[in-house]
Amino acid sequence: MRMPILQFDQVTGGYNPRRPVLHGLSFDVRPGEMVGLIGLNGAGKSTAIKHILGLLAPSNGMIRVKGQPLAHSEEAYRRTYAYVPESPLVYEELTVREHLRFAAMAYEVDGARLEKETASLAALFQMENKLDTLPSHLSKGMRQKLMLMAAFLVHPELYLIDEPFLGLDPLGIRALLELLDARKKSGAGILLCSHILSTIEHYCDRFVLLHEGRVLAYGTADELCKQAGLPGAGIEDVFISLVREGNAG
Amino acid sequence: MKQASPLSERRMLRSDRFWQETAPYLRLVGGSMPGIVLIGLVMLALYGYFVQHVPAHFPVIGVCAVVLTYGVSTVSIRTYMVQADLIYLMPMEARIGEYLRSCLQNGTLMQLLKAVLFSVAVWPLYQTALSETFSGISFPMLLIAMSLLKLLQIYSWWRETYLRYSTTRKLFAFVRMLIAFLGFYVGLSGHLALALLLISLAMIANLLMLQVPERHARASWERWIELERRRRASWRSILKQFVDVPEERTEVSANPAARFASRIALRRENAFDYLYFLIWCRSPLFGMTVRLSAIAVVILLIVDGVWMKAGIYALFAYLSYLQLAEMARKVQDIAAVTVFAFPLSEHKQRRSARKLAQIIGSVHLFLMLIAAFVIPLLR
Repeated sequence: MRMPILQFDQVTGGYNPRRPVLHGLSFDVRPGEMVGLIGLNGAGKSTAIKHILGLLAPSNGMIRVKGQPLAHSEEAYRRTYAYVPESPLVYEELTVREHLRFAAMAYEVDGARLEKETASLAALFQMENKLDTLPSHLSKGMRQKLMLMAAFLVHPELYLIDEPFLGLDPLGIRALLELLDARKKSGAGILLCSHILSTIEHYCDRFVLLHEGRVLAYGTADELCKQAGLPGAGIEDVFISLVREGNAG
Repeated sequence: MKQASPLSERRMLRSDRFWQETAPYLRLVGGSMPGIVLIGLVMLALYGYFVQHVPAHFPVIGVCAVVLTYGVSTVSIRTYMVQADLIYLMPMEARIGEYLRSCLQNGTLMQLLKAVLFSVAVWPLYQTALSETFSGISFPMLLIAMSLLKLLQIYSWWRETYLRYSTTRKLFAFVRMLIAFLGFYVGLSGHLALALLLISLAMIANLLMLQVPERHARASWERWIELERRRRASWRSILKQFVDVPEERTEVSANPAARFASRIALRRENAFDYLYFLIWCRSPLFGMTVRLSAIAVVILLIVDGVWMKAGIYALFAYLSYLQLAEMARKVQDIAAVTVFAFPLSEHKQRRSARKLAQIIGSVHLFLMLIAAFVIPLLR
């Protein structure tokens, strides 16, 4: 089995060490695999991502990307992944094309590949006529597309994607899912947070169900079905059943 | 006594809240008062010296007309409106007139005060143009003209806020400014009756023309919210020179100079150079640095005497240093929004910010040098 690209090993953390949000989280993402991080609002999904990005530090446990923690080499760690946040974070002063160029510089993408990828991603996300537009003239969905284009331009080994479907039109959602599938097949690991379970159900290889900062269930869709006692059920039913059990327990 | 309506009361509450929020910062700014007073006195002394030694070729009337035009045409009325008003105040659109009247009454007083201050500032310079053969206009006449024109400009500006498209708004603002400049130029040249006739006819025509373009019938919500955001941002940018105040989103402009960014080579070590250059170009930082350079160059072209030029050169070099240090901090602040997501080190961020400040500073010093010492040699 190949070494995981992302490892959570007994991670406890949050904003205040005395009141942690995450409690002993353990899971991993392997190359060529898409893992769905699912849970109710406030379950700790975004907090987990902030820990991966190094915006929060675990009070216990260890997060490793390609086997190394952030402290080992910050630049090497960050080069491994591309991150798409839940709310688009863009520079108001840069056009779409300039954002892509900046991302290309940061990840050392050469000029020819930048041109080629810009053209193909713009076509895929119907953004050809928005390439020279400033973010103030983009809708929320278009800003989200910009974030996705920047992430997919750079071909990292790991994608961290937080609620990517919000604000995207149906064509955008389809384009994103196809891209995710293609990148997965080419060997990238993907950690995908989403509430749209019916959409990600057929694309994710494994799921991590977080509840109140703990891993409530972890495994393939079939394994989760077995755990919930609902063989053959959809992931949404399994999710609801497990969360209700978690609340009751 | 007439009671204030609920909507005008709301405007007053918002105004009070703004001043309550701002007061602690103003108290901190008070700590820098000796420095501010000192800089003010130095500027006054320089102005006084200049008024007494106005060069023979100096276009006094033209410069006075430009300054007065700026004082009279730049209008800003606080609306205290915020995004949430689209939800909570918009349902009361039919009665929004009460709220706006209150904003206008309050703002007009401040705007008239501004017009008077500009008149007082310009008067000593204008007096130098007066002579036995040229009597010009008197100070009370200037004050009356400024006040009347200011009222007309405020009304016209207010009607412009109702226009739907920014291009039409800009066009009308330009026409309004042009009318003011021509009026002042003709009036200050001594042709007062002609100036009054010109301004009256032109402003009436302008106000009539304002009825033609597409406009919002009752309220221009987004425009008023944007204007208020800008006013708050400019207050904060003034306070920021002295104390740390929370940041607000700044305006982004489509600066043609930004296209030079594409010449920065596509290399990892240039990533922050590229980002910071674009932030500088399209944020208000560009205008701030260019304005300072332009003012310095104009003053150095006007004044005579090597020591005078050297003193002004040193003063503006120091001001530029302060401004660029602030700019270097600001571009890093703006970049910090998403930079954590990229594989770039903090060391590179700081180095690029310093590099940009050094390049702009060098250009500024070079331009001042040319204006102060090279151009006079060529004359």
